[in-house]
Amino acid sequence: MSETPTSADQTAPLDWNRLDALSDSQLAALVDAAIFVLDAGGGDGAGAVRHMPASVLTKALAASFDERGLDAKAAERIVRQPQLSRPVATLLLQQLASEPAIAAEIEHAWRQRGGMLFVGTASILAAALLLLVVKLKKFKADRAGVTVEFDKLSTGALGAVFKFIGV
Amino acid sequence: MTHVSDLRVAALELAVGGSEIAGVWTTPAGERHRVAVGATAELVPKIDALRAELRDPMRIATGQTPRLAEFCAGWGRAFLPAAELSPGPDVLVLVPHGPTHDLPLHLVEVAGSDGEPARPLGALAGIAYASSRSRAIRSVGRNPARQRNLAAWPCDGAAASGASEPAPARSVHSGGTDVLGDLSATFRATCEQVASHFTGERTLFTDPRWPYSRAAIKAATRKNKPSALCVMAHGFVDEANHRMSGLLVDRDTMGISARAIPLHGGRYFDFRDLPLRRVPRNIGAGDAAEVFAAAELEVDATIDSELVMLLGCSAGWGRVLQGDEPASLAETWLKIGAASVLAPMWDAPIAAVQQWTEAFMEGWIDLDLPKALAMRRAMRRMLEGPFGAAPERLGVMALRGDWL
Repeated sequence: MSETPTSADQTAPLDWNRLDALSDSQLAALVDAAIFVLDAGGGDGAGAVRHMPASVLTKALAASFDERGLDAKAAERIVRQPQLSRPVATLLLQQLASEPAIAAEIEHAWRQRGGMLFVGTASILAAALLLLVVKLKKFKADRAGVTVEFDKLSTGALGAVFKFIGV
Repeated sequence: MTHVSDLRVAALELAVGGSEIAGVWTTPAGERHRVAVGATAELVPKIDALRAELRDPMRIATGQTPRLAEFCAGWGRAFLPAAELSPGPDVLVLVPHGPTHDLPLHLVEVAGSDGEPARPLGALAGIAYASSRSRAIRSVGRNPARQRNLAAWPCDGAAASGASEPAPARSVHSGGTDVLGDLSATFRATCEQVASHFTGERTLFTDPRWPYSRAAIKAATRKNKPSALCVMAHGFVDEANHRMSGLLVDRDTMGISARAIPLHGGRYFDFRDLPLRRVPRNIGAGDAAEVFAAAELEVDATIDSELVMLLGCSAGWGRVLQGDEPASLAETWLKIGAASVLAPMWDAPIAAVQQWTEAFMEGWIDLDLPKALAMRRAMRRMLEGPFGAAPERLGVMALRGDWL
């Protein structure tokens, strides 16, 4: 018995350039999957970033921006303004998908999650994903058996996000 | 030929004290032995960590459950008295306490005799969980199956082969809906598959033109109560107020029905049968969804079915309330009269639930086995299948209430 969900939306290959076609809950699930995969492949695997309170997340993001010479005040906007969640998440995911090994890992996890009897929330954890993207140095993709350096990816993702929010 | 009355039934009641977790093992002969499990301060953090892992849908979905593996092959063994398991009972009733309520003890690997490899407890004995001794007694007392002649009820599949009196024709009420996505067809197919095993009256709510609503589920608790109720729908847990936890079902397109409340003098007052709460905003369900809350079940439904199958997320877990009352939707169905409830212990992959359910139905209905033995058979079948090496899938389903 296949574990691939029977959902019509999730049996077709994921089009990373058409993430705007996903519903909020589907995008939230994809962000969850991305956070889980990145945390497992490059973070401490504890998943703490998913449950981080907004104030702690803001401080952590601001510190990371500061280290890179970026405007730390942007952290507050990214964390607190819910209308930014969807576009920021989309930008981050598209940047991550530019690395095929990461894209494959995330899509695999997303599909497995889609086959679950599970009620997720429609909250898109874009800020948490951004924090992981900024913090990660290396990502080990088990399925492809490769290690991805994150520096270039992080810089590209941050550039795209800051360009979008106009900082 | 083995009959139900010949089965060796044992029980393990756990008690979590301030310094020690211990248990009482009741042998099939009725003797009671004390079982020392371990220090509370050492075990409770491990239990909490395991619980956190099992509540993480991404870990379950991807099969990354190292704590569960440690529990099954390591520290979980402390909960089971090895000496009592060789040979083990046919049926084991587990009565957890406090933080041990959510422990999947049926997954603990028990060393085989004569050098056989270790196997999960649930493959060696039919396991039934009871949240307390009184709950176990009540479930036993209300189980219609107990009215059968247990000394003439074969439990080795002989009933199905025609070697004895045929099993009673059981009826079923089965339906499902996915109000959050597009898995309704999968849910409905599962419900139809479940119903196909029953030889009695089958009431199906699987026509997509008709909503699977609160009224549809409550119909099973009114007249013509079925032997089994199968509900496949998403559930959610309200962490702040358990009784507002519930199942997400379709809004009734037939309008708001009336609920007659008996007053004095043989008169009734008709209330509008509205849901007790709105769908939580963060779930993101559309307007076509309603909540069938646990509180509504408690005030507006009774059931005397042999089994309720709750094939939904968040159905089998919740907080442990004051008085050591585990708050779960599964427990609520036991409270309102079901003899037994089959529900996942954690949010599970649909494929695993489907496979489990099918294997269980073959045992319980087709072979007329007691439910606990049908569980054992299903566990053995699962071990041989694609989920055999995946404990988070293998052990997802649990039987609560009466084992028969």
